[in-house]
Amino acid sequence: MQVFGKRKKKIETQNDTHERHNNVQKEKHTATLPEFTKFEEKKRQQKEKTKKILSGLIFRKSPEAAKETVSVKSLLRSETREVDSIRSDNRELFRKNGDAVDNDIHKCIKIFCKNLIKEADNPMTSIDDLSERTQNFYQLLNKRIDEEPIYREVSPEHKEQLLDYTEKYAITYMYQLLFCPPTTTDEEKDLNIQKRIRQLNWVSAKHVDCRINETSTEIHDLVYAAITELLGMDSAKAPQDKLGCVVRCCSKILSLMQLCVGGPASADDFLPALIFVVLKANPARLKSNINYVTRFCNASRLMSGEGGYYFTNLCCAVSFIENLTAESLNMPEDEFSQYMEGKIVPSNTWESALIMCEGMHLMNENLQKFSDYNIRSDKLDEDAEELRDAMIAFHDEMLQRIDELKQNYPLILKPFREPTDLDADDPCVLDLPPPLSPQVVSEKPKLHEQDSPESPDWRLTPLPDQTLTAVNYDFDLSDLSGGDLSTCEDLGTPGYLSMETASVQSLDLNAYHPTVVMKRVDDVGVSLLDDQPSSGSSLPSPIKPEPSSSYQGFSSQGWQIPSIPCETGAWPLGSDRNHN
Amino acid sequence: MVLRYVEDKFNDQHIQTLQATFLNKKLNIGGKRINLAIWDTAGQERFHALGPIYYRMSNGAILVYDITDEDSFQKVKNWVKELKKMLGSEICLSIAGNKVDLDKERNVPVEVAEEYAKAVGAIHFHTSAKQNLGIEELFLELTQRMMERAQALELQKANELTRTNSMRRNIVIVDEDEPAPPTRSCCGT
Repeated sequence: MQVFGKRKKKIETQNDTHERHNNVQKEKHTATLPEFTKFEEKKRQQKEKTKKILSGLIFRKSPEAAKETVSVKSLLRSETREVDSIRSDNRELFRKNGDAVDNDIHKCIKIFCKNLIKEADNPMTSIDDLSERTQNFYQLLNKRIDEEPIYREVSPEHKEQLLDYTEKYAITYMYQLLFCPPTTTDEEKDLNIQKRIRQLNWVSAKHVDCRINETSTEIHDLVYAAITELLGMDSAKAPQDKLGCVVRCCSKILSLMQLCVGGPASADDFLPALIFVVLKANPARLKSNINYVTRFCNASRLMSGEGGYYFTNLCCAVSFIENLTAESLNMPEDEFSQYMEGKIVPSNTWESALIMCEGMHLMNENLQKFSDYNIRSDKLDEDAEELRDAMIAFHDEMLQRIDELKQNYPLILKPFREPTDLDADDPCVLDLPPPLSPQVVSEKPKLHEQDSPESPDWRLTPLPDQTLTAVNYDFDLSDLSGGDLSTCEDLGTPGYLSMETASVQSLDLNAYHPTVVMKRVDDVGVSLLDDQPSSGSSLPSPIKPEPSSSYQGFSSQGWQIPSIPCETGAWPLGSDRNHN
Repeated sequence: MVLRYVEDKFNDQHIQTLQATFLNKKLNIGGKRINLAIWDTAGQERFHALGPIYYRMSNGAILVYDITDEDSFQKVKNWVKELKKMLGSEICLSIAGNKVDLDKERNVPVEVAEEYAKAVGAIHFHTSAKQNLGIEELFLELTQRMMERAQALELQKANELTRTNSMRRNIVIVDEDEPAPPTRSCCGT
């Protein structure tokens, strides 16, 4: 007996532990609240102000009244996205029932919304009038769906869905207008109940006779899930969605009560648990939400079915909390008032010990986690170090190997081989016309034959140094002559000119080489200029204006010229060989 | 005991359910489709003040007391008074003396109970949740009475041309069993 009693107490105290935990959270929540409260009040005042202005305008029937309607519309526009999503969610329903049903339903919604908005604009209309109009609309629509021929084909199930859709669509659309309107004191009531619940944060499951047994984590999770669902009610917009939150919250409570009681839960267990959850959740705008659902949810839904039952229970819970006295918690008046004033906190040594136990447990768990993280971070550091060492080693090794390679294979620059190769590789070279015209070679044909340009060896061999300088010089001259042919004529160097023109006519630098080579053979180391008059004397008349004009093409070939000066210093060996 | 009462009763003849706080039962009486919504209410004394929220818009009530517990019968009397006051005489009441299987320990005399029921216009039943006695009859009879009342009301209201003429009618079933839980039910035709 003793043991049992003790055990029971343990359970109870654990309940309290849980409570404390919640309380701590709540206090945190409370801390931020004063500003929030102020904000809410300010908001309300502002709303009232605008409403007054609005009503003033309407009373005067000034043209500004029309403007106000526009502002209402802009208020409603904020819901359009949600309304659209509701519509798209139900596309399937309308697809099944045809366009006629679709059009009719939307026509009804439109008319209803228009009328209601107009009604709401009138400051004389109370929220209850709007509520009644809405309920009337639900009934009329229900009747219409039952009687109108266009709905004859619709199955009862779909009829229900259509009604549901209409309610959702219309009320969500006017949410800003209908939820917690400034004409009511809803907001004030919200603040009152919020304050009240905050004052009651010390109430434990034991106080409200709730048999929640908080020993298992499963039950903890269910309590938290129920609280979350209840808190979700504020963010839902359509009345049935809010109701859905209540239903989900309540089914969580029922399943947790089932675990605690060990059988189907009755209302005797359920209501206290719901009260406990409401106290712990302290949902935002609780009263506004309840009133909104009561006013604008289809009354038939609220009077029957799961939703209706649970919602009624929620109303009961709220009412109980509002009217809670020492008597309803079965405790002496003075103890109650002390609790309310925060003079005493509900914990004795045993409870604090339990709280400590839970704290210690959590701390241990966290310490365990930390040491685990510590080990892992150490490991990570080690690995990082290792990686760094490996990288340094790799770097050093690479440097060493590069040094070795540098020593074994010293860098020798042989960059000048390529230009000659370029010409050799060019397949176009083979297609070129024969390089020399017979007129030039007439004096020494044998030499020419010896150094035939057709022989590939010859073409490939780099030109000797001296010859090349000569060529370069020659080109410079030719450039000059190209610029002004008359000067060339004045100089009286017909041979030179003819040679130039001939090569220019062939339009290829390679074609030019043979002539150069020929001259080289003639007088090695002697300037070409000096050479030319002798060779040029046997040439045909060189002065031809047309070729000289075409000579401009040569300068266009200038890009090939620099390749030759490049070779100047490159082949000392080659030039030696040539000399030899 | 309340648990057993509700559990036994509904597991046998109603939907298999994990909870007994709220139940819907579809009946067919005289060719009329009836959706019986039975709501259990918390019976603890401290929640007594919340009663009106539950039985608002209800059509009938079943008040259950424990025949072995004189006190629970007194509570039934209180409930009857309150319901009559709040909902007028339109409400259909049934009083059920539960736990007739424990007849030996009876503390509420049958005559007293039946006389009282007659005096307030309620019908008395003897039930046993444990043995599933008299429960079907209890619900059926109440439903029938509620329907009759409903039809009468409908005619009356149709004449008055009020907008509520197509509204659903509810039945409160108050269960004043051992811990005194009133059960409430709504019924729509």
